[in-house]
Amino acid sequence: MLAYLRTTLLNAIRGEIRRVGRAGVVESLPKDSGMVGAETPLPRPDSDQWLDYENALAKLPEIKREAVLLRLEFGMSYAEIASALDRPSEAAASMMVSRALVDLARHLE
Amino acid sequence: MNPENEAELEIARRIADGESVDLAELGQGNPDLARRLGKLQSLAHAMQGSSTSGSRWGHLQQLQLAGQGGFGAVYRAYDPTLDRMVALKLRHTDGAAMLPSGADFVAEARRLARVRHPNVLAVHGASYHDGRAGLWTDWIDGETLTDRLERSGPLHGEELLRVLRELAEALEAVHSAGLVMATSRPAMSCSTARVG
Repeated sequence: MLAYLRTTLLNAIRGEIRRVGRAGVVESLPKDSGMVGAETPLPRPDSDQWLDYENALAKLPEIKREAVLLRLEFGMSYAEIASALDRPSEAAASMMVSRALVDLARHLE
Repeated sequence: MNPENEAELEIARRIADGESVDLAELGQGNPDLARRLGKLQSLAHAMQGSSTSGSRWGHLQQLQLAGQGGFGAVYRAYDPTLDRMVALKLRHTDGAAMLPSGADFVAEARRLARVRHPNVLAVHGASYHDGRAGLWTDWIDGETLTDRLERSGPLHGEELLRVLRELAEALEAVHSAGLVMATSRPAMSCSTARVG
């Protein structure tokens, strides 16, 4: 029951972040973002890539899915993630996120 | 853990922390995974830009504005790599890449990062993110020489000699690294009550 409520809450928060965030703000990134010499500008993901991401995310075990959401979508610190996902330390939370991201990448097309 | 897995995890960590990623080496051994991690990097970059703009710069987190000047702004920030608070100096977006002297800001900062001396503020790194050039250093809780002079007047005796000796040693360390300290003001000198 708790896991169900947690998933529902996370999905609700994600929906809200996207409503006010991703669609609009990504488009308003500075025009010179990454263009000043030290880094190659990253291509902006299109709708197919976001769908690919969602499909890959859905294939992850729940705990890994949450690790990805908390870090990438919610921008939480490792201390916060360690507390939320019951990990013993920030280093353990960081390792968990990294492993989840490698798994996620393997599920991308 | 084999070296290949270690390389994958390090790339994933850098993506998670908003740092720049070099996929070329991994691409030689596992081009398919490198391509997928490249996709993930683009997605993560877009998400980090939208959901955390204002509270992060690159891998630095929890930015709190500490001061502003003609050069840009200074923030107190958390560096998860060093696991400590640092001072982040961000240049204004306009003209971010170059100093008034014409020198490249980040290249200069990287040269300064080579200087390691107890009396010289340690520069931990310099980079560009979101169109802004910046460098991060030790965060110092202390009192500038300007504040000290305003608080209790001119220095005398042993204290004056100690401050002059420490300043001279700091300048020597900077010059030994091939850098020229064009200006040195009391506001740029700080007693280190506590670092980090």
